[in-house]
Amino acid sequence: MVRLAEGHRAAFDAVFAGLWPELLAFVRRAMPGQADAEDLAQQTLLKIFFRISEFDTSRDGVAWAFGIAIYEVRTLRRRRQRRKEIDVDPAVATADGSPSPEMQVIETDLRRALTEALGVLTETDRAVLLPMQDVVVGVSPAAWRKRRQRALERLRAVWRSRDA
Amino acid sequence: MPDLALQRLQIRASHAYERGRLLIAVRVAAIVVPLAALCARETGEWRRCATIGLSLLVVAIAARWRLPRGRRSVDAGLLTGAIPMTAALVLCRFAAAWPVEAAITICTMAGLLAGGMAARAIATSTDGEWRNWTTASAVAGLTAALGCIGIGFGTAAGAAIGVAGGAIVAVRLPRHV
Repeated sequence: MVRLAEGHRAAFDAVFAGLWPELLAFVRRAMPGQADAEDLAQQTLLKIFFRISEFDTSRDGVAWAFGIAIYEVRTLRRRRQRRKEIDVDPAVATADGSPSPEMQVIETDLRRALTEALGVLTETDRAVLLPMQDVVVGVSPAAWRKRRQRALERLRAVWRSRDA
Repeated sequence: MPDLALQRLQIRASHAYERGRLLIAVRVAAIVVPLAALCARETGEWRRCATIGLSLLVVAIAARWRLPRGRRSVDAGLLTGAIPMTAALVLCRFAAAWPVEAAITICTMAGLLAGGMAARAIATSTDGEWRNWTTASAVAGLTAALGCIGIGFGTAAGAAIGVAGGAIVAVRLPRHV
């Protein structure tokens, strides 16, 4: 492997013959029951050969190669895990794109909680926060923004105290 | 795995290996291109510097890609070739009025030193092959010529001859000297 990293192409066949069966066995052990373990092993082998010229020849070549294999296996597992999480989440949406019953219940609860929190606020704060309210006549935009910011802070405080 | 698929995989791995080596070889452009630009700016000889810079780039990439231990040879050549190149650039900037003979002598002596150092660095190692020190000397010579070309062809030729002479002398010396 050191010779191949230095550019001796005569060492290619020996490295390939030695590395491929070990790599395939390793990936199959790391991903038992996976049909595409061989695909991953092939992909890893190509990456190893692509990067072999960067390999520091003072280090152990086999450990370096299997380090790449471990990284590839982990990456694939993580990707699969993420995909599975997305696939099995029933609360997100139904097949036609409308919200699922769980989502509808959550939304109703949130609306009720928000109405209660707004009820605690003063009339002025509600007027600033609720949609469809025009800017109060005689108030500058800067002052309006400031009022809105303060009202939001108070709403946040009420919301936090509810959660607590 | 069937034999045919294994063979195909072996070919793909071989291609991946060559692509990886070529990619690493091409990185030498990050050194050669700025060097050539610097020399062209200092000497004002844009066309000549571009020609020599391109030749240096081709030799360096080919050696780093195809030659076993080519990276080490090219690096040694670039490092040692920087000596006469710097000498020539200093001459260009601070002593432009010097007689041509003096400039040729300085570049040749610096080339001699660079060639000796480049060849020695390769030849004294345990696996120093003639291809490696020839490559190192060629790269050192081209790097030296990059700086010296601004003064004239004679100076560049002097530096290149100096590099070659230094390399031959250094290789002929016993290893422990």
